[in-house]
Amino acid sequence: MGLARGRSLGSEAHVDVVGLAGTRVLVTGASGFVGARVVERLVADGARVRVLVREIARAAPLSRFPVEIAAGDLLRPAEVNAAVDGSDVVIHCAKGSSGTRRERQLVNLDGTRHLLDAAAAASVARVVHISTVVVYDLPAAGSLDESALPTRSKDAYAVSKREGEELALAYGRQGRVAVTVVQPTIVYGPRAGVYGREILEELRSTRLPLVDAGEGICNALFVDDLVTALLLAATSERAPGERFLISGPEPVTWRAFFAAFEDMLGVRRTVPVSREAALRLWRRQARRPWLAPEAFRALRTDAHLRDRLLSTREGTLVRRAAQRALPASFFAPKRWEPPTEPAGTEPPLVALRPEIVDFLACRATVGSDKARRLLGYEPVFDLDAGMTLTAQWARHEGLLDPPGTA
Amino acid sequence: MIRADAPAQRLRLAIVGCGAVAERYHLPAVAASDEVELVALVDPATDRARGLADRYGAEHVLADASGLPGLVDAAIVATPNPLHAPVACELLRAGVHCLIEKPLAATTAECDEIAAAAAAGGAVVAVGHDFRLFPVATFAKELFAGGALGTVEGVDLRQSAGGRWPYASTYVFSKETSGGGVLLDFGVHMLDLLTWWLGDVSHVRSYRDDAAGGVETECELELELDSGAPVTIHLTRLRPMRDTFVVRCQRGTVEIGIFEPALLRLTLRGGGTLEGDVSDPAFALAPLETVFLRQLEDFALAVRSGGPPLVPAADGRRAVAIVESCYGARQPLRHQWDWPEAAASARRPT
Repeated sequence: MGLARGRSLGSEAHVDVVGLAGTRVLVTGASGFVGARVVERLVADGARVRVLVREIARAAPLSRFPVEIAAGDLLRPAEVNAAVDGSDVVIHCAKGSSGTRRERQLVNLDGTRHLLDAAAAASVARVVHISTVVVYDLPAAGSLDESALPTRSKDAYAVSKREGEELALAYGRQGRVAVTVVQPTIVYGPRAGVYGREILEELRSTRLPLVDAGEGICNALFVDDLVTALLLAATSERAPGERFLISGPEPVTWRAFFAAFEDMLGVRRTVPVSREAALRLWRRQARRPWLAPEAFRALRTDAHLRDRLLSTREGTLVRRAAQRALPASFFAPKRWEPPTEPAGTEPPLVALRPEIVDFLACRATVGSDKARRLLGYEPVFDLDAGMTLTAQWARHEGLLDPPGTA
Repeated sequence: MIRADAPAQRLRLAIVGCGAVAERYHLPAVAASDEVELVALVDPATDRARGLADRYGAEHVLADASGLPGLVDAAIVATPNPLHAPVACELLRAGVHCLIEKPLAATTAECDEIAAAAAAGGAVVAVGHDFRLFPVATFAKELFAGGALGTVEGVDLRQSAGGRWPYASTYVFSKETSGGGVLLDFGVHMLDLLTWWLGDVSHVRSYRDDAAGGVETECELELELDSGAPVTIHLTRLRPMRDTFVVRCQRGTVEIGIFEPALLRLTLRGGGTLEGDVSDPAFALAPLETVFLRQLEDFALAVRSGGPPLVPAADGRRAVAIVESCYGARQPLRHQWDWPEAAASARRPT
């Protein structure tokens, strides 16, 4: 196979560091955010690219490149074998990040197993398996490296991704196929979904709690730095059998990260809140109310309704009975509570799931020391550079237009 | 398929190419029409053709079209674009009438071959520019033909393409098998409407697309109509767009959405806006089914009457000619966040 180190183009920027020209590369998950960028980069580097996509229509954006489109499902071994056959390198970007617990598990574990079996059978030289930083037990502060313990979370995505990478590394240890695991942090950039389009859409229509006043650490990673790491993982002689955490050039706060999106839109839609307040907001919003407390709340807040109901015959009886049965303190004026949402026409404040709240409050920094040392990885897109490119894409995509325009 | 009530003069019909458009739209139209009788399905994927033949009661399943002359009077050609000409020419020369899916062919040279074969065989060619049969498009044709808004001063079209098309194969995404990208495969619909409404395009001022070794998924056209009016068109497979024509005229502006949204918004120069949809109960109930049935019946009428179909071969060629001129004038459409351009933004961390 042609994995000879190629000439280093633009070494100034440390982005064209590997030579995959002529190499036959299969990319799974190629219609996704990271997978599509891997394809773009491989094509620019002269690799011969095949993509495995489940839904043909989703391959449309890839058709601008000279890629071979293999329609198939990771859950069907025959289709996976056909796609892997003839490949030198497999870059496994597909992941089950939606659907039921079972569906995620199927893709992340069974799908990965099918791919590894196919790669072993086809004598593929290298499989790069993309995992995630959430496979680790994240500390509240300090720093995180590859020696950290596995996650204790029950989250289906985190658990199945951890199992998937364990499986992949086991194939490597058994000598069946050379595997490298890459664990990216918070990946953003042009065409990003969760940390791109979705944030912009939420900031356009709602307000977001800035947990812990945004002091938590976002280990932001621009997609092109991740792609560089993946290509290094595909070619470096020191990569097989290893896990590599991949993060950006510098840790940034979540405040700075969200502010970059607010700047694109020209709005301020984040609301600094404590971790406790964020969790309270979730509890309040997540609880489905009972009729009695809701009715009671309505009576307490709507004086007009209360007077009308209590002036009925039954209402008078109920009031008398209550005065006899309940302690006097019940009727004392309520302690004043500050409103959690300001009055007026402000968009609603989104309640974040407790796992997300904790994730955003986490102040652990993730380094890439091992990848720097063994792979020669060096991230070059700081937040300014990455967000400038992201903003250019978002503007083109119409994501920065005021609502109601097209 | 034998039906006791079938009139003797039904056209015996074959469908060549059993991909998504055949399965979703042509076959249901054939089943719903009294004008035609489905006799044969043709596709090299004979298993797929057999499955559809069983569902729709076609007697014959063939791997290629060479066995059709003598078996059928007419054929719908719904193969990948570069096969339109070779398949249709053979049929037309043998006197088999053809309804050919858009684009008529991948090149104007092939369009000319099709026209010559039709003349030699004395057969009818109709082109599957079905967008003309959308009620709003038909209404717009009358609006512009009547000249109610005065001369056309400019056109702007922003259109997304095919996000939900139920592709049955990947041929459309390969240069070799499709002959082009979003402009050839989908843009011809729009170019056909433009020229049907407003007359031919005199020349291409500029054309840019994003093809990077594959086929274009996004493109930007600047054209000029014979009348001198400028036309700007942006097409994309990548993202949502406005999906309307805006036609600026001497006495007002009309915005036209063909489908999703089906929209007509008329703004008079002196002020005042009227907005609505063109009423068509059958279309409202089953839009694409209705359009494909009307297209098939127009084709059958042209065969029976000897009159011209709604979209004759010359019109199909006109749209392909614009595409060809665009490809000839091609400049790359690049963005700062494309690779390798994005690398220029990289900084050394301090």
